[in-house]
Amino acid sequence: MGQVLPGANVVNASVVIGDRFQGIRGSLVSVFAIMILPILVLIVLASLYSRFYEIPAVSIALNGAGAAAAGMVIATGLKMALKLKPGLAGWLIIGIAIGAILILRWPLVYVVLALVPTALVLTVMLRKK
Amino acid sequence: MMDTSILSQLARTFSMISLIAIGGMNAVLPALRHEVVDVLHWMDNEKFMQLFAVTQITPGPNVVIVSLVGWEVAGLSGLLVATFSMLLPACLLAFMVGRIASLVAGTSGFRLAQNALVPVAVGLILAGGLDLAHAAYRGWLTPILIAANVAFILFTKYNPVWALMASALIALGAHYSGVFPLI
Repeated sequence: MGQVLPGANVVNASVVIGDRFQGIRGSLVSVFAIMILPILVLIVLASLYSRFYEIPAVSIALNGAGAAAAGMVIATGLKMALKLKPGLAGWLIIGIAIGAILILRWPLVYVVLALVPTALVLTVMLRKK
Repeated sequence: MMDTSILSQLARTFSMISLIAIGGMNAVLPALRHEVVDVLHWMDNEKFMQLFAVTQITPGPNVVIVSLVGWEVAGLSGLLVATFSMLLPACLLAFMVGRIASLVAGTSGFRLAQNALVPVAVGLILAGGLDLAHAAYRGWLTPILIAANVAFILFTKYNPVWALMASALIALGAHYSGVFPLI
């Protein structure tokens, strides 16, 4: 479920799990608990970044790390695709999403608004009997 | 006082992105990059990718890229506004769906929605990764590094942070040896 709800997957999951145990208070506490440490680490790293990014070597190293980060997002998508083993409908939906965003350059809001109903229709139409 | 127009812009942009993030943060990275770089002109592609690299080193949920963008444009208040705007709408939705999920889980409608929406998430994430690959381009070393990292994640089980650090070192080595200068 966390995969298909909009928003940060891990945070959404912690909202639902917190609610199961302690209601709304459980949700609030678990979101706070999951965010506070990363935010504090982030502030430290961000301060280091603003102090040193103008040094050419730091900038070049981060450009390398940025390329790595882009590769990791692609790999995440490929991993999900391998796990999903999409049928014809699945491949069509994936292809339409990539085409609409990268080739047609549609804004993501419109892509999502158009793609969700399209995906439901394709999935029903091409469902294996 | 902090410029409130920047803060309200952060709130508007990120709460909108929050609700269309099917597939998580990775799926909305092209939209986030487009808004921050092309529309609002808060930074260029190089800076955005450097910030993204910093958040990949940060432990925890990858939603912190939004927090870091907020920090860069408006300091601590920017970080807080950006993070809340990104989390609140989607968390409210998850809360409501979570409450009704136990009623509908396992029904054919729920399975249908799942079968249809997971490919949407996969497509959006792949498009997001390719968009970032384009934004990260700094000469021929970039596609080589990207391909190597895709292979690293797919075929090994090591912590991705090692690949990030190795890529940073390779970029330094390639640049200063003059083999692949990064522009």
